[in-house]
Amino acid sequence: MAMTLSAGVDYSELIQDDRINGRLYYDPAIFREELDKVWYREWVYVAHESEIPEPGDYVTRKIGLQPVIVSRDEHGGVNMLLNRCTHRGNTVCQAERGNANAFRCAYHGWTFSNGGRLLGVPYASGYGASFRREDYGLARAARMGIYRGLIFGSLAAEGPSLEEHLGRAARLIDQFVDLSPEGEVVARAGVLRHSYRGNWKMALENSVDGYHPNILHHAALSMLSKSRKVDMESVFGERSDAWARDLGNGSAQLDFNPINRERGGRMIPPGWSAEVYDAYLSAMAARHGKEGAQAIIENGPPHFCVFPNLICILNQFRVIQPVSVNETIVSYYPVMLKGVPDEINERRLVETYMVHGPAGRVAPDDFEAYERNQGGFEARINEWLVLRRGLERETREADGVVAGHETDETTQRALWRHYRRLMSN
Amino acid sequence: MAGGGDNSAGTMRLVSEFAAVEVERDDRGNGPRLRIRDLRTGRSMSLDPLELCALAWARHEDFAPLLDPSRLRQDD
Repeated sequence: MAMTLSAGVDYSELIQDDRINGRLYYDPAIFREELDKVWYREWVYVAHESEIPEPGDYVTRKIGLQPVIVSRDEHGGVNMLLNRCTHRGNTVCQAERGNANAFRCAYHGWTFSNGGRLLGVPYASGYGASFRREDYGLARAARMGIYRGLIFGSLAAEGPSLEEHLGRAARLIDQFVDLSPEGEVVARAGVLRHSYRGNWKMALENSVDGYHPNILHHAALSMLSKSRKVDMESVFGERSDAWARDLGNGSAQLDFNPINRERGGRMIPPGWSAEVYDAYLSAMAARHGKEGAQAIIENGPPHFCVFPNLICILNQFRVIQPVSVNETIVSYYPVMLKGVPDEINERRLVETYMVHGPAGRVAPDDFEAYERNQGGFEARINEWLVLRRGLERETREADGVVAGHETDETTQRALWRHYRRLMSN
Repeated sequence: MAGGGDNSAGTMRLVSEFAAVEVERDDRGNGPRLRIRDLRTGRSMSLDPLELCALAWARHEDFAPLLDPSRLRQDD
């Protein structure tokens, strides 16, 4: 078993109730310790089942820095394999996605089934009679779990179950997926992928930051305010009726449901025609009854993150991949709803790239902010980040959930509390 | 770099990161066969309809012995 590399820091000193230290974002030793204590211990989102629908389909992803292959074998099973030849360590699959029932390492030709079994090696007589293929299959992720089509992996053999890790976030995944009349989503529309010169935790914090949109994204939201006749100050400002919630286990939510309901499910108006809306309502009613369908549509899509790397906002899965202490890749996968009129999915696709594409209305602002943050952390005289917004007005709901106003830093405090627990272990 | 394509001579290419093959109808014999050519090495063979039918009934695991690279090298 690999040794945990310790940064030798006291995380309770660096992460306090109302402030955290910038060292958490720039210290390479902390990044290495995070690999062991966060990425190789927690449940990490890896792929969606719809990305590997056919036998032989595979995608290649990362858990932390470790390369993995997620494949569909001929029996329909999903496999999560380490993308490392058991011979001398080459990555076996190079393509981001493909279809192959067997993988052949380009270096020495060792050949594996897409379920990881070693099928054979060239010039096998050189290994003698004692060589057993069954000893050299591709390594597998210790645990894999699938919830509503979302595939998670854990490199730790023990720990909380996926169900325990998801906790309250599971019902938000349900809210996301159940916007489909068939209760299924499809992530086959490609990916928008960006990188920034900054630490991975910034993208996670930002995803549930309700304080910044009216400021950082002012230009885009002013445009939206005018074109859609929605006052963004009432969505992202002090007058907002939305909530920021700690879901537990580092997961957090911005709950815009109250605002969505006020507007009949069109808080971020999707620009549907009346015909499209009626067709959608009718399809949803077939599954949920008319009132149930109305309630789901009016609540609208959720907005939340699942620690450490998955963000579900509106119409996409956003996946964070750490590269180094100051480099991160974020992939935006547009997610389509099964069973809806085509216009709705077309709109979802357009919205994703218009907001988060390289010339998008919002994402480029966020990435600029991350890089300015990483630059700012080089100033070492006062290294504290203030996370006290809303501390004095947080409430505890009936089920124990800590909740704050949409603009409060309740969500960031939630992430850091969980992170401190993991890193102090 | 997966993909392939057709060309006007009726061949079809199928390409993945692991292999590139070309398939075409082979009418040189007394009956039709399907000729498969490995574009990397030039090796090819032609399968008759009964063999193809057997492939239609096969499972992917039936290919394990064929995929074993020790079989493709002279030693074994």
